[in-house]
Formats: sequence, C-alpha cells, structure tokens
Amino acid sequence: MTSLLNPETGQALINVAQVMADPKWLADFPASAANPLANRVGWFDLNNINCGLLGMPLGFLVIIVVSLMGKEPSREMQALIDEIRKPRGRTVLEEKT
Amino acid sequence: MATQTTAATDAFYKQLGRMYGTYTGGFIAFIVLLAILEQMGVPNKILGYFFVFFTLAVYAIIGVATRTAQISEYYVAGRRVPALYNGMATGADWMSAASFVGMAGTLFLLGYDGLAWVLGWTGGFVLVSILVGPYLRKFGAYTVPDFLSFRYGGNFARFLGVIVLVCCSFTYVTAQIYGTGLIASRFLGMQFEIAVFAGLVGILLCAMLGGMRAVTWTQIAQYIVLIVAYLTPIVILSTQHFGIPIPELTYGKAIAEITAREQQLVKDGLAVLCTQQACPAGTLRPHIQPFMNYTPLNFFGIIFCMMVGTASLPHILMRYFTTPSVREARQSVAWSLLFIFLLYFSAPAYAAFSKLEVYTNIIGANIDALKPWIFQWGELGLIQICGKNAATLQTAIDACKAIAGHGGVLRFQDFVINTDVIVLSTPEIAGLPYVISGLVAAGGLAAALSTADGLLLAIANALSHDIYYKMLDPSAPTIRRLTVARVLLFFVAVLSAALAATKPSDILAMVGWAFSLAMAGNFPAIVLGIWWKRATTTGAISGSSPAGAYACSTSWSRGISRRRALPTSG
Repeated sequence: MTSLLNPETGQALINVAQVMADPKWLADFPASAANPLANRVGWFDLNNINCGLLGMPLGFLVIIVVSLMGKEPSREMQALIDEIRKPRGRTVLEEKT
Repeated sequence: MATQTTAATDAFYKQLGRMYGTYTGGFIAFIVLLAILEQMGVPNKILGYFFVFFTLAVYAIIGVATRTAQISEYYVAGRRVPALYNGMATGADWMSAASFVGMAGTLFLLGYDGLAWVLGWTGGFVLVSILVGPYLRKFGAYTVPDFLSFRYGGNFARFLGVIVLVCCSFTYVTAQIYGTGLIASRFLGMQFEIAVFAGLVGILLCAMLGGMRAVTWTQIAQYIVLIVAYLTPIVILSTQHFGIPIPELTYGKAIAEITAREQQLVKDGLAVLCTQQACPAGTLRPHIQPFMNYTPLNFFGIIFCMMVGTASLPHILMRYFTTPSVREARQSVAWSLLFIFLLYFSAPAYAAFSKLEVYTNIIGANIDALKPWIFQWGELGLIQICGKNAATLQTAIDACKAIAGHGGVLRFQDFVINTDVIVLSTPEIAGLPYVISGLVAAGGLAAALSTADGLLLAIANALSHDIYYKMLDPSAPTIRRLTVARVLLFFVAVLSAALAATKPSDILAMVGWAFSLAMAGNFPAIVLGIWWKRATTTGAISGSSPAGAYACSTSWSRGISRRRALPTSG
C-alpha cells in the first residue's frame, strides 16, 4: 500500500515520518493537505496520471453499496431510465427555450 | 410536412458541404500562395504571422458570424448539427494540443510505451458509443450536471457534477492555453507570458458570442486545418525516404531504420544503451522495446484511464447533445472515431519519422554545425545542449566544452528536447520549407483553440446554466442568462491563461490529470445512472465526492510539485 518506490531506481522516494514531521508539506495547500504524500507518487507504484484507476472503482463501490442500503428510486424514475435506453422515441427532457 | 422537413435538411447539408468544400480549397490555395511567397524570398517571420493571423481571423469571423441570442442555439447549437459534421467538430474538440503537439512527442520519447496514450484515447470512443453518448442525447439535457440532477434528483448532485466538471475542464483548458502560448511565442516571436494572452483573444472571439453554435462551426473549420497540417509533413517525409506517400505503410521501415541507427550510435560511442527499466537519464532506450518507461501496470493503467476518461469528459459528452436525434448521436460517435483515427493512426509514424531525422541529422553532428532553429526553441528553454538551454550557438559550444573529454560531436545524452517541441520542429529538423513549419504551427493552434473553446464553454455553461439559472435564479430572463454565460466564460478564460503563463507542467501530463479527474468523479455516477435503476441519490452523492476528491488531490498536488518541470529527456 505504501511502497513509495521510484519505479526507475527502485529507491524509496520519501521517508514518511520525516515528511509528516516537516511542516513544509503544508505549503502545498490545499492539494497536499488532502493527501500530503500524493505528490510523491506511490500507492501500488501507480503513476499519478493513473489516479483514476483507484478513484473510479472506489466511486463504483460506494455508489453500489450505499444505494443497496437505501430505498430504491421511484417507479417513475425507473421507467424514465428504461426510456432513456431506448434508441428511438422523443427526447425525455424538453427544455424550454 | 415530413417531406418538406427532409428537403430542408438535405438543402442544409448540401449548403454545409459547399461551404466547407470551398473553405478547404481556399485553405490549400493559401498554403500554395505562401509557398510561392517563400520562394520569392519573403522572410520566415512574415510567413509565420500570415499563418497565425489568417487562421485566427477566419475562426473569429466564423465565431462572430454565427453569434446567437437564443438559449438552445447557445447551449446545444439548436440540436441540428448533422452527424458527419458533429463528428468532425468532436474530432477537433477532442484532438487538443495534447494530441497534436504532445502525443507524437511522447511517442518519440517513450517509443513503444507511448502507444498507451493512442490506444486509450481511441478506445475511449467505443465506451462513449456503447455506454454514454446516445443515452445522454436521448435524455435531452444541456449539460452533464443537468442529467445528474434530474436522474438523482435535487441540486446537490448537480452541484457535485459542476465541481467535477470545473476541476477536470479547468486542468484541461490550462494545457490548451499553454499550447497556444507555446506556438504563438515561437512563431510570432513574443514572450511566452504575453503569447498566452494573445492566444486567448482568439479563443474568446470564437466562443463568447455564439456559444455552442459558434464553437461547432468553428471547430469544423479547425479540424480541416489541423488534419491537413498534421498529415502534410509526414506524407512528404514518407515520400522522401521511401517513395510512398502513405506514412502508415512506411512506418515499419522507419522503425527498422531507427533500430539500426540506435545500434550504430551505441557502436560509435555516441549513446549509452539502456537495457532495463531503471536506467539513468540520458541513456538510450530502444524505441521498440516495451515497458522501458512504464511498468506493465502503468502502461495498461494509462490505456484504461484514457479510455474511461474519454467517456467521462463533459466537453466531449456535450457535443452529442447537438445532434438532431439519438440515432444521429450514435452515428456521430462513429464519425468522430474516423476523424480522430486519421490523426491518431499517423501519430506513431510522425514520431518515428521525426526520431529518424534526429538520429540522422542531429546526433553525431558537430556542435558548431547546429541549425538555427535549435536556438529559437532553446531560447524558450525547450531544448538543452550539454545541460544548458541552447539559446545561442556559443552557449551550446561552451556548455559542451565544459564537459571533460567532450569531442565536439553531439552525443545522445547531450541533446534534450521537450516533448512538446517534437511535432512543431520536425519540418525544421528534416529541412523542409518553412511554409510546412508554419502550416504545422497553424494546425497546432487550431487543435489547441478548438479544444479550449469546447472546454471553456463547458465550464461557463455549467456555471451559468446549472449554478446561476437552475440553482440561484430560475426566473432569469434569456438575455441575462446569456450575459452571465459570456461574462463567466471571459473570467474563466483569463484565469486559465494566468495559470498557463506559469508553465505548470507539460501538456500531456496536465491532460492526463484531467482524464483521471473526470474518470473518478463522473464515470460511476453517469454509467450507473443510465445502466442501474437501483442507483440512488445518496449513493451517487457519496460515491462521486470521495472519488473525485481523491483524484483531485493526487493530480493537483503532483502538479504543484512539478511547477518547475524541465525539458524531458531526448
């Protein structure tokens, strides 16, 4: 989970304890405040461009679990979703122009 | 009645065909005219001005001529853009400075590993077609947050949708404005920070007055320019090298020559071969060797992120809101893929021909025989020779002399070129006429402008339609809604230009972040909203927020740490 290795050299990129002790990471606010180690790369050796690879499954998981725990949407909404999937027919939402 | 409508539609399509046919002919005549002027001795700088200003003027004229005061025209181009033309506009909207300028440069630098970007960006349209595009059109929204709000109910889902849209589109548009600044500074001889704002004027003229309607017709014109500009140099190089004007067919031969040249450079002591992933900077990584730069996980990760990101980017999805029907939305995705394919299928060939030219004409040459174009890019800090920005020949000579045992011949490790320069400088590297360089610059500008227009419009529409009209003032009259949209467009554009002027990172990296942001924040909520009836408001709100926040924090913090990004290795 926290391998934090440089994929090129195999060396540890950062001393976690040292970074957390160093108040300089606060200078990266607000982004680093949310995840102070993020800019050093690392979870599962993933390049930061691929951060969606972790964010998207997390999103799917949370939506599915939370939705299953709650009440299902109304029949009207479910009918509307069925309608959206049909390739023919009128546009569902007509905006006033 | 139906016959009358069909006849009117046919007439409209024919008129569009005539207009854009004439435009294409005029553009080719313009290139021929400038080629003649070059032969007559007109200075390169003047030719550069002609290319940049003429194309900008044409886009601005289209933008102003198609201005509108109607809401549906402003937000969705009246929903009457034919599938073919929407495909072309989507192609231009999609192929940004990252595709035009950055992709071949990345393929040049990374070799095989760079194909991850091409595969992901092309494959993404399959997802758009199957999972998202036609269904959003059937729904009939003006913006992606509009769909989220209706599907999940309430304004909180809309608000989250707007946040994700603004985060990813703003990151993306900054990269495009950076691209326009780069091109304008090089070809107009302006300071980069000023060039960024000069490019901004062109962007605003296209998008501000006519919204989606103006952006659509401008993007079609921009697509024609960018595809002609991208294909021309490689068709010439392919013909010069192998006698066949189809670069995709001669690409294999170019790769074989690159491999032979790499072996020769190592044999002559002009490069140090890298044989594994962990190599020091400046070593030569064989062009065809896979996973020399990315681990397999990151390689396939980029493909996946770019694919899913494509199907989540609001400025692309909203293009399918403009077609007359769901059927045309689906056809339009196929057209988009074809028009995008024309460029993407050529990008690996572009990178290969460019690399072959660098290995033949630059590496192994005497330092004092370097061509002047190197110093023009060096002055911008985008080419380094022997560890120093190559601003002048003397700087390069002095830098190399300072290296112990340097023989005065340029070695592989001595030459560092930024990936964003490769495409723009290839005509100069290959010694082609300057008119081709100007054409490529015009193409790069068209690519950056078209995407920037689409992105700014997506942000401004979300703020004016979703936040202002739907959340703050639902009774606002049309004129006020349009004014708010235009004012917001202006301010967002200026803000992104100010950020771009700080050179936050290279184009491809910034665009990559935008994809991950869109993927994490939008994709689950949109796809489950369409394909899973059981998805609820609470689920969507809880799922979009943490995923988007995670992606935002990793991407942006990385961006901050790379503010002083230097040219990537050559």
